[in-house]
Amino acid sequence: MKISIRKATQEDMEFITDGIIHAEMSGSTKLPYQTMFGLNEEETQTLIHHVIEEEIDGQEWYLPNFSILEIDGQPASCLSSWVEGENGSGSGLLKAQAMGWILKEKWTNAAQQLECLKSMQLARIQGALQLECIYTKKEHRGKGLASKLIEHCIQEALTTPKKPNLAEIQLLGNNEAAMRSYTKCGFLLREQSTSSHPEILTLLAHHTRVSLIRNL
Amino acid sequence: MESSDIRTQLSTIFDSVFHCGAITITDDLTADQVEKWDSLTHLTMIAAVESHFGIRFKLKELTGMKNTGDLITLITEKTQVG
Repeated sequence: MKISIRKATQEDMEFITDGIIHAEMSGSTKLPYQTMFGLNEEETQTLIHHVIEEEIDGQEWYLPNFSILEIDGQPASCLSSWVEGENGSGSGLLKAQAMGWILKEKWTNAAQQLECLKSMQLARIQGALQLECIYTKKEHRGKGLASKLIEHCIQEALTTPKKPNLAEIQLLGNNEAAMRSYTKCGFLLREQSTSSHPEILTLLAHHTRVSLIRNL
Repeated sequence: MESSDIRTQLSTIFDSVFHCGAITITDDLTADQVEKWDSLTHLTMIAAVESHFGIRFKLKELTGMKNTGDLITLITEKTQVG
């Protein structure tokens, strides 16, 4: 079994889109873009493609931020990493701008649902290396591939001029397997936010959002 | 349109969206400095600005905006062209 890690290319779009969707579902059958904006899976794929094609740096859905781990030349894991606020704007604002601009009325009509999501939002740490959209194909899980990819991206970030001194992963609280895996990589709980909003579980797989950090 | 006119009008729009009172619009004003300015209200503010000044922003313009000074520059350019 030959493992290699490389930066994503345009040819990885389908794999990355699949990875984003699975990561967003957080091990459940709830797709947030379906529950929030009424998009089906195909429309969600189109939305993700559209945001990626807009080439907005500083947030997770930006192709050059993705790294791919391959097994015997086939994509097995992916991860998006960037330094929060590096270009002056927060990733949440950048992604929301893109989605709002693309979805238009669907975004506006989801004001109530978006307000609900805010009830468990955690601010990302400025200047910290963010690790998002961490996904491994089902048949390759349990082999420590995500950990390898995380370690690779951290080491890569440490070679850049503005080397970050902290790495952060945010995820939903139901994803215990992922949390165990990140803890093994040296991540510790920084903060968690639980929403008491009555609608939250109709939108997301869990009502708690967790921030894990690791000193670099 | 003069930059000072734009600032005055923006102050009213910001107050209606962020409920922040009549704040002074400076070039370096950012979302971090206004309590209710977040990813959701930002888009409401942008829609209000577009409607008020009769302009449309491109996505690249929005994502390239770092502070209120950038917003004023864009409004100035677009209202001059229009």
